[in-house]
Amino acid sequence: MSNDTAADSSSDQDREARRRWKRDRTTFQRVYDVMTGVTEHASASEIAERADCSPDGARNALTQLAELGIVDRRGSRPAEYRRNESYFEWKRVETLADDHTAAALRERLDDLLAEDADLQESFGVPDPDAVSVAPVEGGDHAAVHDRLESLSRWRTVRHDIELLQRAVSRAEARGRDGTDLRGSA
Amino acid sequence: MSDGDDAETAADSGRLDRTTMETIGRRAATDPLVESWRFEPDRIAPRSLVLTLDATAYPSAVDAARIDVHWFVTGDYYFHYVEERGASRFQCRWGRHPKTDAPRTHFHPPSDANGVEPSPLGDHHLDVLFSVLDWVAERVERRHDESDRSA
Repeated sequence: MSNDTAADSSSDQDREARRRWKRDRTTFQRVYDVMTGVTEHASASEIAERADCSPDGARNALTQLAELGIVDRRGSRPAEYRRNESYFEWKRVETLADDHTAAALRERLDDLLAEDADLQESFGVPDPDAVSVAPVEGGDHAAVHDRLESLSRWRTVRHDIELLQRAVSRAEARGRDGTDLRGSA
Repeated sequence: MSDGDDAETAADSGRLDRTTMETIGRRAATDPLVESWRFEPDRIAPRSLVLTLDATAYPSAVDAARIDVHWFVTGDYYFHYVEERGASRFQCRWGRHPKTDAPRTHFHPPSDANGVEPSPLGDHHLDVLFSVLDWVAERVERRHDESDRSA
């Protein structure tokens, strides 16, 4: 029997990649790594389990991350945490404005606006939230799958258009429009 | 965080989650088998994360190997492993996404990623990454064993 089967996560604690992560990263860094992927509120003990640390260690790191605005805290008995989406969006906008000229960002924005126009036409609605996906029973599997993938791509395009518009404004405000040779990659 | 396979069958994956993808890239890059990570087509509006694997860790028959990663805000994902051997490819894919003819979380086994099996991977980005990296380490070992036997 070949061993080319799916990876088995049942013994995660003993696995090499996780063990290395635990050895090389501090508790605070591991909690940060975990929180970057937490989009739904979770308790400190759930986060501790994912970060391979004690609940107190997780709470301590989460308190610091909340003070920095990186995570969002809700309630108190028990408190629940998730990543602060607006922090990560702000960070991405700032990084884009740091690393690219307004002209380069605008060029990419134009591509996305064209892709968005194509998607509006193909779905026949102005907005991804207005798309209805028919029940799948008896439908053509491949067609349904393609439609769901296009819808997901449309949501990505919409999100990037919004962030790129903000990044263009930031780059312009810094007076870098076309005059900064530092990076248009 | 449950799968909800039935209820979610017709739900799309939502938008790509570049925050999670960046963490996956950075943490993957510290693995000895991962040479580098990058966003494709660029960092301005990334559509996928590419983990380039160290081809020199494989027996010489392997020209290049990589993992293409997509992670979505809903927790859906694709991890696509591709090994190039001359003109042929060895590939497989772990997925969690709407699938009308299989469970939402599933595995397309090698060597062509065409079949579909249940997947034992966890829900969280790091669990999925670490399991896939461990799989790759075992894969590299097996390739060496096979190449020793045939030598």
